Amino acid sequence: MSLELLLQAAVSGFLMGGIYALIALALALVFGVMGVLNFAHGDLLMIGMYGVVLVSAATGLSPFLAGIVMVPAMMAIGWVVFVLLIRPIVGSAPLVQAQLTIGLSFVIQSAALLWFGADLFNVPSELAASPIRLGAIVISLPLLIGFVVALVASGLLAWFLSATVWGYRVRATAEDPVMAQLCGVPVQRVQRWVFVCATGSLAIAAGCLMGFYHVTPVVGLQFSVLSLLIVVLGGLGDLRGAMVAALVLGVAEALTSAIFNSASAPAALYVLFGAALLLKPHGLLGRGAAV
Amino acid sequence: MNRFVQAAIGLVVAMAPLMSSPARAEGEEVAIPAITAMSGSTAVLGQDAQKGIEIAVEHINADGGINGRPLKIQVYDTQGEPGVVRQVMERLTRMERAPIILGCEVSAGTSAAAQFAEQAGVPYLNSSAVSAELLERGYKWYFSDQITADSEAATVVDFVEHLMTQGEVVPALLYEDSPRGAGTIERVEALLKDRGIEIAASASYSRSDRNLLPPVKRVQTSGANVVIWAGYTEDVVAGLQAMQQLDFKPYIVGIGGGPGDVRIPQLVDKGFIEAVNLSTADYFNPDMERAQRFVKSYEERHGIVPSSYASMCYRGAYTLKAALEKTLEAGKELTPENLRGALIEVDIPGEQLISPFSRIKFDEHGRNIGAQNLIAQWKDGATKKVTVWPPEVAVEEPNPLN
Repeated sequence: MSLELLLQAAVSGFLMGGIYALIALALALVFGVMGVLNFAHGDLLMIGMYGVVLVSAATGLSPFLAGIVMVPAMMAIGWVVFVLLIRPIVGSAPLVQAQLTIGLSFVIQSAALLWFGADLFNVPSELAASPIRLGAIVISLPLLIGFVVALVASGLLAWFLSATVWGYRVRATAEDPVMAQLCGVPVQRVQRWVFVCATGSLAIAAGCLMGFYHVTPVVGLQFSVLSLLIVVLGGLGDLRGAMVAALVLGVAEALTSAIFNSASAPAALYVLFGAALLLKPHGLLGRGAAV
Repeated sequence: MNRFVQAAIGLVVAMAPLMSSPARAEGEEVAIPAITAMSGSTAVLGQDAQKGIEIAVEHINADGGINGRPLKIQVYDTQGEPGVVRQVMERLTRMERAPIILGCEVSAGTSAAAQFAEQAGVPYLNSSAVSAELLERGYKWYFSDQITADSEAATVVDFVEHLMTQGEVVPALLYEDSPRGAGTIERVEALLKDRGIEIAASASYSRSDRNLLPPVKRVQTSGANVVIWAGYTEDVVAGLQAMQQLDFKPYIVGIGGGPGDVRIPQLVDKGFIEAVNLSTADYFNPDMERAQRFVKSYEERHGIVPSSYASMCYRGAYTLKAALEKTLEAGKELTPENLRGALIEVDIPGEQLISPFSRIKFDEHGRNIGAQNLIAQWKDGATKKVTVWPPEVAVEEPNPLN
């Protein structure tokens, strides 16, 4: 095992972690504000990824720009999903929420299969052929751009939450919805807009991913599981924790794959996850709800 | 109307059946079920397999069907999950009393189906899974007209030895870690060792890995100039992109549907595909003379050349046809026992197949003794995939070692 290989894995894993962060932040925000753990989160991301493919094919835009173009469409989808499915189950038992969102996940997967078939789609880009080299370490340009875009989007989200009136309302709702309501915060409207904006942000994450990855009807499940891991690892409802957890998970995923070099690599990742939960039940930063 | 006109009309009406396709099937339908994954993570395979079956049924019926009776193959979705495979098999064998089942499943699903067929006493004709281990279980009702991992490994190692005649070869192994990838690579590794060829590195990854830079880097740092790679389409696409970023251009000898997928040039830089001499051990290539009727029909309908997945169950439908015809020609009923007996007697010459096989003939384990692979290579800026190995079926010479 060479140092060069480990560094390569750590760098590309860190960049990947940045994109994971944007995906997981949306889930963490939804959970924090309305207490709903959305198992169809990855499938909503998958819709964004197909959208990016279609927009890029139709306009020739890079996947990153196509992702931004897709934001209003994803917000509209988020609105419909919230009004029809999520709002009725806010405050319901976790099992009801899980059943409904898992059902939604199956419906989205089947619809994608019917519509796009089982073929995989990607967005061919010349950027993939021009990596950045730092000595022996190679940095994929689409991955780097994806990381930067995701970082900027996450930064804007952090600014919005900490420096705007609506951000305060979101945080107040997450902290104590009853007290927020008593203080005049329109809790239901906040919840609706959080879900709509979180779904919209998945379009940007989809653009970041499609710079170097592909989409199939089953890809959503992978990202749902990944996002749940990150949200739990970061501490339920803790956005900063989710950000750190995403970066840690990206690096750990790449390092376990490089070090173990066998079918046991994913298991090693889950062992690490389990150990982190035992030692830090309130998340990596110790500020989330206990699991 | 005068008598001459009446007679002419009568003659035309009487001649009409003779002027249309004389062999077109009529009469009671022969309905046989096929199982494949139409949804789930291996749906690419199943959807292509269904397309292949549809065209086979059209061709068979246009040529007179099964002794004059039209053939119908009903496809059942298994989601590629062994649990669902068992449910579907139970329904087909116990409730619908299917006399034989055509299988277009991956190895895990085929294992479950073969086990169930054995208990139910119904022949299971596998046209998809390459698992050699299934043929070693001593099953009575399992037949496979598909190649096995052993024949894939032998073809790949023969090809590597051919490259060794052109210069120094430092081989490395790269594979996705499912039983399909790992199982075949295990056989390649054993064969390479048997023939005294040293392996520089062996790197595995999970099919769902989003980042293939680490395993590809591991292979690159080993100094390998030939990479033997077993993978599916999605990980091969990600791996080729990682190689391009690492500026790593080995001679790639692939195994499985991934490296040979006809969609690869739409998903990866064509120049890079050619730079790495992307080749694949396969059981089908659209440039084979004997496959042209199938290829033309497939292209007309789907606007793309057929994948190997599409070819496998087209071939399977013809093996099925041979068994059904043998049974009916012997004046027997289409029962599981009679069809098993017919499968044992089937002997289809290579010229009648769309695969590079010398024939389809089953041994006592249900193994097709005529199954053999070819090596196809992307050429001319990845605009065409050409059969380059073995020499007896090659259409062009393989690219030389870089």
